[in-house]
Amino acid sequence: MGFSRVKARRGRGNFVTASAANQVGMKRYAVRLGGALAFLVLLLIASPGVGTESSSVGWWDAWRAQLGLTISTEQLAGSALADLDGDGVISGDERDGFVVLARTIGFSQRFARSLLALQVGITLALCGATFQVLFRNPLATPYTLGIASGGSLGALIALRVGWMGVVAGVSMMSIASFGGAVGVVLLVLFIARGSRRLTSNELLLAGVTLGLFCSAMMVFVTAISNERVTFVIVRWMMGSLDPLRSVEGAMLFPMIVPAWIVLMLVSRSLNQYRLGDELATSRGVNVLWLQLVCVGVCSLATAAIVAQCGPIGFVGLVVPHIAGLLVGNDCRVLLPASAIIGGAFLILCDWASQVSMRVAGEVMGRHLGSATLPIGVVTAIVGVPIFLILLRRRLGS
Amino acid sequence: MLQLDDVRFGFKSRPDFLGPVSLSVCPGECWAIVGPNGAGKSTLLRLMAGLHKPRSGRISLDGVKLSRVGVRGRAKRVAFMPQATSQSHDFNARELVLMGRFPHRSLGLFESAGDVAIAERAMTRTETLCFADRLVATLSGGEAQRVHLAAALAQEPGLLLLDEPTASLDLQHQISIFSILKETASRDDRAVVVVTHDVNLAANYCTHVLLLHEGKVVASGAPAEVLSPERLEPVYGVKLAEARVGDTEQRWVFPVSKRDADGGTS
Repeated sequence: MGFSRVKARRGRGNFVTASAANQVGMKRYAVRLGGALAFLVLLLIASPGVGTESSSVGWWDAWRAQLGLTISTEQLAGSALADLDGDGVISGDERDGFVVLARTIGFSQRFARSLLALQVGITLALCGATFQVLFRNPLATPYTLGIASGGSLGALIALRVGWMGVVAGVSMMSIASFGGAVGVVLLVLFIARGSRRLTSNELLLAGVTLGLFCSAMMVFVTAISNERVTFVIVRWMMGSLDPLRSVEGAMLFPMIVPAWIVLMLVSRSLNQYRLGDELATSRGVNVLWLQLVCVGVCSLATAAIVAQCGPIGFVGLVVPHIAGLLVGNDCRVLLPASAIIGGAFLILCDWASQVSMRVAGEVMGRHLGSATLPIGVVTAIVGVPIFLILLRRRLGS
Repeated sequence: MLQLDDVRFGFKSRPDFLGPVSLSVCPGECWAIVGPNGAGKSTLLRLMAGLHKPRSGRISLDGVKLSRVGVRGRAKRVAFMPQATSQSHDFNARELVLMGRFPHRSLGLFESAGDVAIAERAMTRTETLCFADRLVATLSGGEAQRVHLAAALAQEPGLLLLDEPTASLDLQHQISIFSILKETASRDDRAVVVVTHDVNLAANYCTHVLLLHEGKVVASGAPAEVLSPERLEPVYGVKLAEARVGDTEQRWVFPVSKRDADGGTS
């Protein structure tokens, strides 16, 4: 068996050795996927220990508190955070207080934040990978169809008009943003509907144009706003991963999880689609239907995210390219790889956004205005160099 | 069996582009569709593949109207190899051939061992197994074309439709592709329809020939009858010479010069 595998890797096997080579290929991807998944799990395990506050709640303290493991007073000796009265001795009450604190900071704040980053990262990367296949364009992202611009415009209008209330636990701004994003998608699909054959380039152009229009309208709304509203608008545009209230989280989840499932289910058809419309059709893929389903679920998922977190760029653009380098272009492997890497990428970016402001503040010796760097800034700082390097490589080869 | 009865087709700008065409393709037959550029060869092939719907007339597959067969069911029985194969060459040869198994799987993301075996049989047949793990983009035109042919064979269709599979290939690859097609028809008892510009290859390897000119069928039947210089000269507008090579019965046709309107040579 060992011999046949070696032979097969060199690519000159007969039946048996060649099928062994196929198994080896699959296994190699499985190892890389598994490795990425393990890395992601490690990030999640460590996440209760990373945050803006320079407090001494470590990830292990948080996990012990959350899992109900006993933390003895001796273990907390010397912890300034637990020693509330400053007498150098940890009493039983102080220990109980620390457990509650560790649970709150570690899980209600940091872990919840990382979970949100995970969901957003998975969704944006999956949709990015899908759009790049769908439009046969390596620069396509979930935002290409003007979804982010539409969502932003919706939120801006809500801000300007003053719809700041909360309906059924969801902020009016989120609802308006979602409405704007979905509106743009429906308009794009309506434009594309005319022709029986939904050609991708036309759809792309329609989306880009509508996106530009929405951007112009955003400038208009900002121009006629007062200083206070302008400030809120600018903050929102920066993107944020602040933990959601449970109601908002409950709204996000049903919008994005179906997209994950649907995209994985159509991954085989997407492979065929990459061979060209005619070949895919002759193999039994309904190309029009595939395009509609993918654009539909990706748009809804992205709109839900834009509504909650503001526009977060570069995840959907960069991550699929990294995943492609790691596992190749078979969509059945590429999509899950993009999802895992996207989740990990955004968690790391979120950590960087929190830690960098703290570190910068400590270096400069004063408290900086905001506790976190906007997530969109970090994804751009990390994503743009990666993307340019990838582009450079592509030009070089 | 694929049956075409009085099939007509046209585009918005040219509503009477093609037809009427009547034809029946049976298992074991290898049909060549020949004719000048713009004669409607590829359009006819696409009609057979179900990629276009006929304006009038009827196309039926084993007695059932083609448009009623359903996309997945059609894909299991009819394989189509377009002229400009593959916009995406990011797959290696084995992956590309395995993708030909797509219509046969309903559940599960990955191919079964049976699919892998079928794909490898197709690759052995087309002599592509030796570069199974290379990216299709790195293969030569002839090698890539054989890989695409293997993918079509792996689809295990009753009817194999190919649009100019030997365009821009060298002599050796032309012969190799056509002998695979001939073998597929005669040995596996499948039906093959191939669009080609090479009348000599068609004459040598195909059992039947359909000659198209300006959307109309000029002649159809055995190669020796259809591909005579008398039939071909007015269609192509050239003067042709005919020769026998060695002591075979096979006649070869060569273009000699441009043909004048009155039929004489210039």
